[in-house]
Amino acid sequence: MKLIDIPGFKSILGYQNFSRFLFQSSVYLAKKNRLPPRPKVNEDEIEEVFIKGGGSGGQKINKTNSKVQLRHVPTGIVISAQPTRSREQNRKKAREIIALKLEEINDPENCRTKIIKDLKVKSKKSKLKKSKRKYQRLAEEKKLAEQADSNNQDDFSFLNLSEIEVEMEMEQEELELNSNSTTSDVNHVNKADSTDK
Amino acid sequence: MPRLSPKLFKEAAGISHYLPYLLPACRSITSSVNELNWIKNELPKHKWLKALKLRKKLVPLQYILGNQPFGNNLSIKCEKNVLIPRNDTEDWVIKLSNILSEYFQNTNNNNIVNKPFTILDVCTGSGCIPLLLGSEIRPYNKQISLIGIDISNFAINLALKNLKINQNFLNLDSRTYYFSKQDLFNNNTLNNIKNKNNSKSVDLLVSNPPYIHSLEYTNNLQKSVKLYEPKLALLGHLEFYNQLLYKLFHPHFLNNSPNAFIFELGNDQQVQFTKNLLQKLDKSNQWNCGLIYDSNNLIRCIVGWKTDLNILSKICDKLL
Ligand SMILES: C[S@@+](CC[C@H](N)C(=O)[O-])C[C@H]1O[C@@H](n2cnc3c(N)ncnc32)[C@H](O)[C@@H]1O
Repeated sequence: MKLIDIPGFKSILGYQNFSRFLFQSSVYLAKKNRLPPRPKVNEDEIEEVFIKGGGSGGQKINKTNSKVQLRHVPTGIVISAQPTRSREQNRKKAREIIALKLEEINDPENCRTKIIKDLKVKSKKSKLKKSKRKYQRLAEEKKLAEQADSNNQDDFSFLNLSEIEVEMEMEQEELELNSNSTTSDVNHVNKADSTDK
Repeated sequence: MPRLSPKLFKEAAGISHYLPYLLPACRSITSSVNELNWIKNELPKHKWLKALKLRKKLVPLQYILGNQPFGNNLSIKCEKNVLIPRNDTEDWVIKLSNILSEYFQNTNNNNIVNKPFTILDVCTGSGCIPLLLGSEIRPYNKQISLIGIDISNFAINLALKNLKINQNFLNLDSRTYYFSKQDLFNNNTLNNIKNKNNSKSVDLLVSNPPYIHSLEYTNNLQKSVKLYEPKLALLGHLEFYNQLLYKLFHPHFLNNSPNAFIFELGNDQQVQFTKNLLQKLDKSNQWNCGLIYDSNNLIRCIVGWKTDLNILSKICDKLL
């Protein structure tokens, strides 16, 4: 998130840090209120899918593939998490993903993934608006520069705090969502066995 | 191993000009992409190319990046001359720490809150096993202590480094962890540990000894392992299980012999041998025995326990 240059405010030391603090704490609150809690999955209903093949293990082979696949037994859904190098982290991530998927199936209207998607659409719109504003501002700045004597004409109208908050939140959620959706794949059992070796 | 097709290299190059370097070690686009991401995330840009060139020569990724995550929090430093911790080892060590944590939590009610409990890890290498067990179990038993021994100086030095690196997660107390250079086959090993550590007894003996048979070593070993990991850590067979069990049944095993053991192993012959020897040595018929399978569904560990530590039956996938 780039901070916006505010003509006339630049010289005040510490402003940037203060505003960053202000934005972040309010984003945190907004996020907490807007998003439903992360769903959890019942440990008794899931099992780890064994990666077949290989034929050897232990000391004979040094695998860097730490992929974890989980199967939700009642529905047969199989998901896998984007592999970090830590198998334990992958296990945790895979549980989060499978819980999101299940919530999506059970409550497509109010689930976390839907709400995040909706917010994303909103943010795209606000981005568009924002870039329009940016051009306006550039033009305005040009005008300002031309008017050598008008050094106190600060214009804050383009600065809409609440929209910037949403923007920042979007960036965070987008990061999280991308790391989920581009890297997890939902297969049903029959397909799952054919994936990866 | 089948040759990789030029088509695959072309496809890889189409994704990123870095990717073809990783194909020989990774063998598939998907795992090459993963490794490339890890290299980019963990190394500064000016080191990428060097790392990729090393990996092209099949140098293990963990030696290049310098570490391997192990369990929830630990990062085990990896250096040449010491074996890289395996996923299969990590899996049973996590199971073991869960079972023991639960055991100590339950016994807490009966006022055995701080019952001393000592685990001896023979052939400790990087120290990954005692460090993970200690970090997970110590919150539930403040008097747990862990001893790691290895014949290799490289291993003991690295284990000590790993102790330092991970100290934030180890609930450190100077008496909790102890590493010492010792030869399993030496008659004085037990005495040496006893004198230096003044531990009264060992409750659980664990080991991941070298278990690759010489025939397999020459014919059936992943190339990267054979070229770059120490032979001393890999080459071994029945003699290790023989020695481990004889030490365990030695009447002077640190005053009081352990109530349980877990040994990682590599093939059926080692399972049969260890099982038979246990039966032979267990004159008063006090021991139970079981097996742990790995995520490939291969036998990975043999477990033995006396009734005092019956909870260890929970770790077994099959009882013998
Ligand atoms: C397979 S590695 C296990 C390392 C570590 N425990 C792990 O799981 O990653 C076996 C270790 O046994 C050690 N070793 C070999 N012969 C030994 C002996 N006679 N006495 C003690 N340790 C020995 C090697 O130095 C090596 O570190």
